Formats: sequence, structure tokens, C-alpha cells
Amino acid sequence: MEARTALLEPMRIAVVILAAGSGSRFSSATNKVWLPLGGRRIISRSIANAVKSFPGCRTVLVISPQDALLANQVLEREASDVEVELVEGGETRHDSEYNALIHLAPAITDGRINVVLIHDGARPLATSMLFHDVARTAHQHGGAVPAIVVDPFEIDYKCENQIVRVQTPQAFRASELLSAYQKAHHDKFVGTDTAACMEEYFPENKNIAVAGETQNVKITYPQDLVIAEHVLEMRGYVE
Amino acid sequence: MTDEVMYAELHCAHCDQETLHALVYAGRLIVSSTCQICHMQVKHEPGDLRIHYIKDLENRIATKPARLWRRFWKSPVGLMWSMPRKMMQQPGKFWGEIKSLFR
Repeated sequence: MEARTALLEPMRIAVVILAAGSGSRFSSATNKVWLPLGGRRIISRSIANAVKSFPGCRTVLVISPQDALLANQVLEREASDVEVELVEGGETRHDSEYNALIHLAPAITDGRINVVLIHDGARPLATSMLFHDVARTAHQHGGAVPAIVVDPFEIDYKCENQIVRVQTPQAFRASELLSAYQKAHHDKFVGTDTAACMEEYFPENKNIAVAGETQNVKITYPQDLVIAEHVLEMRGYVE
Repeated sequence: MTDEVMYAELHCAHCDQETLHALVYAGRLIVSSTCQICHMQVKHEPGDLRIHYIKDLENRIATKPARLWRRFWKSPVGLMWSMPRKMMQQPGKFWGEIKSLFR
């Protein structure tokens, strides 16, 4: 019944892109999300994918304070047609998500946003289809997480459980998500990811796994940059 | 982004931790990435890189008019102002890229 009611309401989406990183030990290091990839910065590809999926949606980019100047330059050059709201990140991923949600809180409270997508800025290859799938599923069921099934024998030959590799964008109904993070902030609870925090405070909420994409790599190892270049080349360098 | 070296923290498979990496670019492509702790290098096979570079160059040339047009609409004065300097830099830029490919 709840799902049917949600379906009647149009989706009003906000996308939060996390690019604050964990802070570098090296003063000369660039946060990897600001590295060039196929002629554009990784982060502007992530933003372009999100915005192309939901034109006119609110887009929040969470950055480290020291990246503010670079962020303004890159957005001016590579995403000038998109209105991106910059929010300062926190110590952890959880804190960064909290800061973004507090920034969106007035719009969530008065119903101008009913679905929030949280996306890792270091995943520049997520397709529009994936953004749409998670948003639609979250709107219908409460939460959606893209996942890829991993052969458990790759991890532990004794393991008999099904293991999945979780990706982003993850999407959740906005009011529950905001409430979960406000409660977590009060209780000083830190989840490993967005879904973990939702499960802690809204266990009755269904977080549905949607099919992830093998090409949706997270830039972690140097070879990931080379793989991402190949994927972009296959796609003709378009998002 | 021409034969440019950038430094970023990435996970080194050899050190099994986040380390500083030097990333060398030729045009839009990554030529190599070197861990600054263990010096492990990740790079394309040279022949493979040249094939990718040619494909990438074709795409850069094909999309240049549209990119220039976008920049013109955004800031006509800025584009006109920077154009002569950019054109003067082109031969040096391509020479730098080609040198990176054969290094």
C-alpha cells in the first residue's frame, strides 16, 4: 500500500556526490577525484552522469575545504551549465553525508525532495540507467543499493553464503534518510556506508539490491584509471 | 594536460596501502603511474598506448569545433584573448605528447 502511494507521487530528486576524500598525508597530492580522465576531471564525469539522469535535480558536491578553489575552477570550466551546491565534508564519509543532508534538510522537510541519491565521486562510469534504477526502486520500496554478485570462492573457499560487492549510487527516501542521520549524529553512530545507517535506524525499511554494473569501477588502484580510459573509449568518450 | 605529471594518493598493490603516485599524461591519456614508495609502475604496453593515442586524437580533433563553440558561447572575449597563445603552444604540446609515447 505504501509503495503504491509512493508511486503516485512524482520523484523529486537530490544527488549528493562525495568528493571530500579522507585527507592526504602528502601536501603535493591531488585528491583522486580531481584527476583528469579522458580530458575531463573524474568528478565532472560523475556530476555529468548524475545530472544527465535527472535534469534540474539538486546537485550537492561535498568537498574538502582545501579543494574549494580547485572545485570552483573545475566546475566553471567543465560543468558551467549545472548548478552545483558545494558543501564542506567532514572527518569521515558518514560526517560528509550528514553535512550534505543537513544542507538539504529544509527542502526534505517541506517535501521538495523525496528521494536522495548518494554517489561516490570516484565512480565516474555509473550510467544513467543505474541512476534511474536506484532512484525508482528507492522511491517505491524505501532504499536501493547497486550490487554485483561475487563468487564466494574468490574470497574464502569455505564460505557458502552469497557475497555481493556494493556500489554507488545508493538511493533512499529522503525523510527517512535525514531522520536516520540525525539520530546517528545524536547517538554518535558511524555506519560503514549509507545503507548501514539506514538499516540501523529503519530496519523495517527495505533496501533493495539492484543490478550493479561491472564497468562502474571505483578509482582506487592506478590500473583503475587505465580501465576507465578503455571504457570511456568504448563509449566514445560520452557519459 | 600535456605530458603533465600529477601526484595523487592511490592504492599500491605492492605496498598494499594508499601511497603517493606520480601520474604522467600524454594528452588525455595516462602514460604511466609510479608509486613513490616502491616505484612500482603501471603503464600501457607502448604499442597499445600509441593505438589508443591515435584513436583519442581522432576524437579530440572531431570534437574540437563543438568544444570551441561551447567556449565561445560561454566567454567570447576570453576565447579570443587566449586563442593566439593557445595556437602558438600547439606544436610544443603535440611534440611533448609524442615524446611521452616513445619514452
